[in-house]
This record gives sequence, structure tokens and C-alpha cells, in this order.
Amino acid sequence: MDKKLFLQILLDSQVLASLNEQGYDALLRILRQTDLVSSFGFLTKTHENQEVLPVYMQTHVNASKVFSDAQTRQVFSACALIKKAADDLGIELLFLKGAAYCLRQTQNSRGRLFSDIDILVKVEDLNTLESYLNANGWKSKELNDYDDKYYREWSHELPPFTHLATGVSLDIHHTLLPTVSHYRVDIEDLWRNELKLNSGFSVPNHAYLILHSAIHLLLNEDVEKGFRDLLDINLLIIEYMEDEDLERLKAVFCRSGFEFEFDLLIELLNKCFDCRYKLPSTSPSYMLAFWCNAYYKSIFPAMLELQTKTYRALRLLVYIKGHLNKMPFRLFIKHIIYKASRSLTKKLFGDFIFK
Amino acid sequence: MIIDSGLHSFRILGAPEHIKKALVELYGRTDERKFADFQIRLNRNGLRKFLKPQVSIEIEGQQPFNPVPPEKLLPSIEWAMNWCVAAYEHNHLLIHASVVERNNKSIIFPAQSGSGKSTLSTYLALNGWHLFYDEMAVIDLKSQKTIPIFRPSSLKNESINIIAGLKKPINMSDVTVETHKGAIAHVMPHTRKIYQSLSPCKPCAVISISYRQGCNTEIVELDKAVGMSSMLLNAFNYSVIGSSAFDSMVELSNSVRFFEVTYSNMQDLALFLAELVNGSVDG
Repeated sequence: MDKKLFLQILLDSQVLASLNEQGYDALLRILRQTDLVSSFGFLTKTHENQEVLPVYMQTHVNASKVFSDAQTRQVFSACALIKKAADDLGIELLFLKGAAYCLRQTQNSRGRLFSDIDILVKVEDLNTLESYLNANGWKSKELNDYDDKYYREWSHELPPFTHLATGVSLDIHHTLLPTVSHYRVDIEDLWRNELKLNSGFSVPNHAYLILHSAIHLLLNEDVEKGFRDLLDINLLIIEYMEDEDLERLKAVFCRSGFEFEFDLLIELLNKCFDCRYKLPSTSPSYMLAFWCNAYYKSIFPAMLELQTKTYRALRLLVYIKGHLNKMPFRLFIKHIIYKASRSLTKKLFGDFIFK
Repeated sequence: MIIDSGLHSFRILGAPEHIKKALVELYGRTDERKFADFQIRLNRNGLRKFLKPQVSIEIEGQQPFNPVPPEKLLPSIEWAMNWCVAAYEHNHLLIHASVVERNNKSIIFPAQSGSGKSTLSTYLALNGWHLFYDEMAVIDLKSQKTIPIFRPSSLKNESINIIAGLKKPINMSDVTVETHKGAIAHVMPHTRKIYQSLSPCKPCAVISISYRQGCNTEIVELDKAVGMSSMLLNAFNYSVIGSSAFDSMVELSNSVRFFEVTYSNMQDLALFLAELVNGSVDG
């Protein structure tokens, strides 16, 4: 199955009628690798209409919905626990990304799987929160000295926490990119535009939800789940934005210096989902074309069926770009040498030598 | 190659020839159908090809297990297949247990690894019973029937000698030594033809077993609430399925009897189990 057919299936469920057993097999493999089986069920409405898919495929879509429903319940429960912590401490807190989609019950939250809960707090509240979590059933992830330094010194963030009773994983942020990065997110503007839900939880408004997802997609070194990020953004724009709102969305991106990322995002959306957004671009067209192609070929799973000959080279390029987005060049060199030596050690002595 | 276990099919890619041979010997046949419920890919690690080679096991893009040397692959593939079922099969309730059947009634033995359930269920399967599955009770939520699965039992360490010592004709794989669970061998206690004659059926009993060398067989019947709670401690996906799992298990608990059994003599225990399925054990 190639990328075009996969994208066509997500956009138009009638294409499913053209698939045979081999096609459904390839589709299931891709959906599993992208954690999109249940999302697929909602996008194609095959959760409701059980006669579209053959039985052998429908059974897996049904099983995936059971799992994603359970995860949604767990997210609500975990967010209530975390909100209680913030209320006890009297600190402000926003839920980000997957948790925010779930709490806000966005279209893209349906069927979504969650690996952790991301929250945003004020930088001055980090230490207070860390002490509270350590004393109330949470444990910070054990890190080696290097990774601890990465979090605390370069990102000025806390390492991830795990709730000992429930296993929920919590990532605590005070901004959307590491502070050593040359980007400066206008985090005050994000806080000024927070959305308080009827349920009592607070999340960023839809523009900042999209910005954060775009940062995750375009300024990260790991694009393993890149397609899911792009799908999230596409669905958020469709749900919350009219065409004229895209100018305001661009303004939010530009406030924090992400002009190029906004233009690149539009190019990618048009290429993948045939969106036909037309906005004037201020970025050099050759740069947009190059990086659009690079991301288009990198964000799909590393399956043989979807790989091109340049896949690995472009993944490496995106990997380097992602790191350079988050840290100065000097630090990047040190980081790459460290990572490369660990990778070589694993290749020689086994993948799990450090575990 | 595709392994057909009845309820699920598993595509195994990259298997070395000795593993393919072992799988065909256990499962009778494999096929090359176009749709597989699960896919497991075995990858030889690059630089390690020449120095203590290892094979990594990729399951639907994930690697939940440590890599292993090629000679230890068979148990790892069997564990990978179990992992697929536990990770993705949420249309049925899955309980960590062995399940055997006789007279169209099944008995569920929920237990942790090392309890002796595999030895007992393999013994029973070679003495007039049918093995439904050695790793899990796969339960239909609407009917509470246990589903037969065509997979071998997994024997560890001394239990390999115990079953081999029965001197019955059996389909047992070669022993894989020095796995993290010790020596492992797999036994397919019946042919695919016999498997195809089996039907899902309701359990008549749920029995927590505990092997203790030299003891007499001690049987304690449990209160239904206690029995159900104890059984669900071994459930893989009870909280995933949620309230419909609770409702289904209440129905099941109302129709089965729960026991705790300590034993050392499988033959003795088998007599009790036969009486259970015959309905001749008083309450």
C-alpha cells in the first residue's frame, strides 16, 4: 500500500471498497504502527456502520475502540488527580496535547491513544509541584546524569513522573520548547488565551493547541508519530476554523517566531489532505518545497511498503533539524556524540545493555 | 509463514529455517494467506551478525522483548504470539489461565506462571481431556463460553521430564535451554483435526491450583464473590473492557463453582475434575 492510497482511505471511506485481503492486511499494519486503528474507525464511520469492512478487519477495529474508550476513561481520571494536586497547591495548570483534546472532546480525540499526560505550569511553580508529587504517590523517572542534565539545565523542566498506583505518566512543561532553543514561545499569550472548560479543566485555545502540535511535528527530532500530529492538526483546523481564521492562526505562529513553520504546515496539509488552503507565504519557495518533501517522506511509519530509497536520508535530516531547532550547534555536537556512542554500544552489546 | 490458531492468525517474517521447521512440526501446517491478524517480524541485529548473533522480535512495529540468540527463538515466538493476543484482543475477556474441556464443559485454572497449571493441563490433555489454551481463558462476553485455541502448552524445567515420563506419544518440540524461565519445551497435545472438532463451551468450574510436593489433595469450595474476585486478579483486560466485563463475569460466576485445590498427585486430582464435569460432585 502506498502513501497516496492510505491517505485516500482516510479522506474517503468509499475507497475501502477497492481493497482486497492483502490491502486490508497492509492497512491494519500501518494503522497499528501509527496507533490509528480506533481513530480510523471514527474517521471512516466504521465504528457505527459495521457492514462496510469485512468481518476479519472489523473485529480489530471493534477491539481497538474498546481499548481507546478505556484510555479515555483513564485520561479523565488521571487529569482529575492532577488537577486536585494543582488546586491543593493553588497553582495554575493547563492540560496540553492529547489530554487537552480528550478533555475538550475534540473530533481528533475520538479513538486517540495516549502515552502520557502533558501539563503546563508557570516556571515559578515547578519546584513546588515537584515536591508535592514526590510526597503524594508520584515518582520521577530514573535518569542517568546526562538525561537529568538535559531536562533540568537545558530544558529547565522536570523529568517525567509516574503515578505509582495507576502507572499514569506525567510530563510537566513551563513552555513549549526547551529554553536552550533559539525559539521563544510567547507563553504569556498562551496563558492569556487559556480556555476554561465547563468540567473545570483548563486547556489552551484551539490556536495554541494547533501551534503546540505543529511544534511537536516540525521542531522535534523524532517524527515516528509525525503523521498522527499532522492528522490532529488537520482535524482541529476543520473543526474550529473557517478560512478567515487561518490568518489569525498565522498571527499566533508569528508571535513566537514560527513564520516558516506555519507556511510549511500549510504546504504539508495541502499535500497530504488536499486541503487547498491558499495563504500568502513569506518563506522562500525552494525551502518550503524541500522541507515539505522531506517531512512528507519521513512522517509515515518505517514500513517497507511506504519507504522510498531516500527515506533513511530524509529521516536523518529531519532528526538533525529537530535537534538544531531545540539546542545551539555547540550543544548539538556534544549531544550527537553522546547519542552516537550509546547507539554504537547497543549495536555491539545488545539493545538492552543500558536497561 | 502464517500460524493459524483458530481464533487468530499470526504472520511470522524472517524466521530462520530451523524455526520454520519447528513451527510446522508443532502446528501441522502453515499457510500464506493474505490477511493476518497479527504480524511478528524477526530481525537479525546488524553488527551482532558476527559476534554472538541476536535476533530482535518486532511485533506490529514494537519491540516489547529483549533480543535473543537464534537458538532460543521458539519460546520467544510463542511468547510474542501470546503478547499479541493480550495486547490487542479486547473483544473477549482474557484471563491468565489454562483451560481444559471434557463432555462439552470446560474448567478454568487461573494462575500465575510457576503454579503448575501447564503441567496439569498438559497431563489432562494426554488423558482424555482437550486443551483449550495453556496461557489464557478466552471468554465470549455474551455467552461466557470459553473458546478453544490451537496453541501448544509451554512446559518448564522439571515439568518437561514429568510429561515425557508419561511415555505417551506426544508432539513435543526440542527443549530450549537457558531462557529467562529456564528450560522450555512446547507440547501440542492434539492434532488440528481434533481441534477443529472442538466447540466453545461454558465452564463448570474455576479452580485455583497449587502444587505442593507430597501433600494429599485438598479441595476447598469458595464463595462465589471470593471466587470471582480471585479469578479477576488474573484478568488481562478486565478494566479495559469495563462494565460489560463485570456483567459477563457475574453471569459466569452464577453458573460455575469455585475451588481452591492443593495437590501433588495429578491422577488423583483428575478423578475429582472428571466428577465435576459429570456433575457428580455435591455442593
